[in-house]
This record gives sequence, C-alpha cells and structure tokens, in this order.
Amino acid sequence: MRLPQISRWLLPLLLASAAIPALAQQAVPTNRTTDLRSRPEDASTLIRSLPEGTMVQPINERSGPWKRAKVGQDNGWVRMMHLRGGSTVVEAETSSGGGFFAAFNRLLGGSGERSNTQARSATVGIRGFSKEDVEKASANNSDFEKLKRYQTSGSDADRFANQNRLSSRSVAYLAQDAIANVNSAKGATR
Amino acid sequence: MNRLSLFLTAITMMVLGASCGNLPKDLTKGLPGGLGDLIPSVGSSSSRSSVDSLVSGAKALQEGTKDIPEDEEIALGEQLMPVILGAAPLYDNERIQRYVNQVGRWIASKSERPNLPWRFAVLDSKVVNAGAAPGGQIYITTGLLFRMRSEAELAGALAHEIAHVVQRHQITAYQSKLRWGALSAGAGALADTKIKTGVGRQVAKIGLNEAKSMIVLSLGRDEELQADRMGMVLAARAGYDPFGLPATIQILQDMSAEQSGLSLVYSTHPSPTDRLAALDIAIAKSMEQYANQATAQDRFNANILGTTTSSAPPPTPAPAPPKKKP
Repeated sequence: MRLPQISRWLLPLLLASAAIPALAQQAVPTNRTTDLRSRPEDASTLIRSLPEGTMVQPINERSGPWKRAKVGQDNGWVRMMHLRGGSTVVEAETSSGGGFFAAFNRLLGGSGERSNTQARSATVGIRGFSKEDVEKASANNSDFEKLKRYQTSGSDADRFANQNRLSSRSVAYLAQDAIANVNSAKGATR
Repeated sequence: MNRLSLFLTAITMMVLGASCGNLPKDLTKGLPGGLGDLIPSVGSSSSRSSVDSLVSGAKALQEGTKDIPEDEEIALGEQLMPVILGAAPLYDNERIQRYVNQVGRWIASKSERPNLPWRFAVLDSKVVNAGAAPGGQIYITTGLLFRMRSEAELAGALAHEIAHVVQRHQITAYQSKLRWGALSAGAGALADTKIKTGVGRQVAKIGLNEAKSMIVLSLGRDEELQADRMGMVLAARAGYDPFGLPATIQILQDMSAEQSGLSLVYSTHPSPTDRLAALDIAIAKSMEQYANQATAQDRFNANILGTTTSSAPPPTPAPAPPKKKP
C-alpha cells in the first residue's frame, strides 16, 4: 500500500485546506423525498415538501432525529437521517478549493465513476489511528498510570448520573445483536 | 502453554510474515482491517505443501484461542493502551479526563460487562478518532471530542466503542488475522517474558511490534454496524438521546475527506453514509421513543469547551475542507 508516499505530498495540501476560514456548514442533499417542518415533530406544520436531492443548509441544532435546516428562504426542521445518505448520487459540494480531493479519492481506490458524496466519504471510520504515530510509538507507561487515576468506579458513575438526572432504562438490543457469549469470569472485576 | 501464549505466538508469526512480505496475495483480501495497509508488499511464493501443513496448525491455534479468559483479555488490553498512549499522549486536562471517564463508565455500567476495568482516555491528537482495546480500554481524540456539541454525542461515540468491547470484536479480529498470520510464516519465537493478570495468573507479555499490529488492526463492516446499533441502545439505556451517535457519524461525514490522508484506516471501513443508512434501516425508528432523553449540551460545554486550554483546538466545529466535484 502506498499511502505513506501519497500522504507525503498530499499532506501540505490537506493542511492548507484546514487553514481556510470557517464556512457555514456545507449544504447537503436530501436522500429521499422528505418534509421541512415547523417543529421537530411529524405532527407540526408542513412548510414544504423536499424532493430527493434538494439541497438543504443544516443549522447547528438538533432535536433527537431532527436537524434544524434552511432551504432557500424557508427555515424549519428536517429528519437528519433523510440528509445525504443511501445511494443518492448528488453533487453536494459547491465551494471551490481545487480538484485534489478527486485525485485523492482515486488514489485511495475510489473508482472514477463514484464521484458522488458517498465515494468521497468512504474513507474513515470511527476507529483506527495514524499509522505513522503508531509506528514510532513506544509504551507510555507514565500516561497509562495517570489514566488509571482517572478511572471512575461504578458507584462514582452512578453518583454522576444521579446528580445530572440521567436515569437508566431498560432497552433491548435488536435480536441480531443479542449478547450470546459474554462470559463473566471471576476475578475480572477491579 | 496457555491460550494467550498460543495466540501471541501466532501474532508473532503474523508480524514476521508481514516483514517477510511473501504472502499469497489472495490471503490479504477479505480480512478484517484491510491487511493490505500493513503489508509493504505481497508476492505469491508460498508453496502448496507448506500452506497445507500450516493450515492445520493455524486451525488448532485459532480454536485454542476461541475462548480467551476475561483476565487474559484485560491483560492484553492493558498492554496495548500504553502503546496507544505512546502514539498520542493523554490530553493534559484532568477535568476533561475525569468527565469523559464518568460519562463512559456510566454507559458501560448499562452494558453486559459492567465490571471490566473501564478506562476512557482523551488523547491529545488532532486526528478525528476513537477506538477500543480489549477488556475496556477506550480512547477518544481531542480532534473528535472538540468537534462534538453535546454529551449525547460523546455518549454515542463511547457507547459504540463499549459495544466493540462487549462483543469482543477486537479479539475476534486478532484471531482472524492470526489464522492468516499462521499461514504466512513458519514458526515464530515468542519472548518468554511473563506478566500477571488481574487474578494472578501468568500470561505472556506481548512485544511492541505485536502490540502495534493489534492497535492498527481495523474491524469489519459488520462489526462496525453492529457497534453502531448497540451504541444507540446503550446510550438510550443510560438516559441519553440515542441520536447523538448518528450526529457524531455526521461529524465524520463532514470530516472524511480531510481526515482520510491522516488516518490509518480508510478504505475498509463502512463510510459514514453507509453507517447512517444502515442505522436508519435497522433501528432509528424504534429509537425515536428515546429521542427526548438527555443531550446535556450545557454540561458538555461547561466541562469540555469551558475548560479547554489556549493550545486546544477552537471550541467551534472546525471548518469543513473545501471540496470540489471531481
């Protein structure tokens, strides 16, 4: 895999891009026909229906599954799961900044045709790490000892929840995710 | 030889195999974590007979590690975490560290493995990331934390990682890789240094290279999507608005293009778009009844944004990278 070499020449470009002043959150397309509503609930007034692919400007406010958004001159709420998902092929990006992301995606194995929002975002998960960081790492035992001191006990966590009015409730996993094979070996608790 | 020793021996083989770079090419496909990332070059020189004999050995190894006892799992994670902290140190802010540990530990208490030594490290790294090592060792970078907007989002990300630990996804991934690793090289020597587990049993100490191989190993799409589904449920159990998790995935969606050059794991993970679509189909509707639970935006701001040091990233979400259609 040639990522390190790719990174080396792309890094300055990426860093340069990060230095560009903040823009409003980028407009995103709806991934199906959906509604812009006056409040974050289905029973609220319908402001307008949004055909699939309508460009929506999200505003940084969320209420459960609803996201505040602006469409043209209209302000309202749209379901967050109805934004920019699925297999919709819509060009979401409108700001300028050079075509290097296109080349970047191709280098990373994205096919040329998949030049849609999905292809562009198919590059990162919620885990993983910078390979270079890990390669040059040695064990940092002093920080691990520090981390142990930050460790919270179950009863402290309960106290935290009580103070902050977090109440637990019984919610089942989907059947396919049910825990079948979790052991509770003795002595594992500390 | 105990089971972890067997397991680690095979991991050693795997590391040796990677450095030899003589794997049959097809073996590097379809494995958790896109092993191609880790292997500088792949050829196709294994002879048939050696592969055959190694297959049976690998099978035995894998079966031998099928049921790693919990204390060994914990011991393994506790050997990986210092190396993770070697890659990115703890963020130097005690209040933030304690806050994230409280949130994380509260959610973990609602899981099926409440009594693991759960630890939540906030790493000083601009890389947008979170991850877990076996046995309850979890990390989140400041790059991700400082882009979040509420405790519900933090809860969602931590719950996703907690789900990986609850399901032992990392262990399974190591075992899958190990099967391949045993195929890839002959016998590997294992350092016979020992450490004690929490219950006083002796297990093999893993080497730095083995630890690194495990840390950079990614999980499969199914495991990630399962952790997303379970993460929403765990957050809801803990009293949070479960839509904090999809909101966090949307942060990744905004970040992907910028981060892809900096993150190790890119092509083998489901895209944020894929993850959101899967959540939408599987579980989003049934989670709506919990959507009015806590987001705790004010508490999050007080604990995270109110206490960032001057060297910290700005409290507002970072600008999205400029993009242009290809």
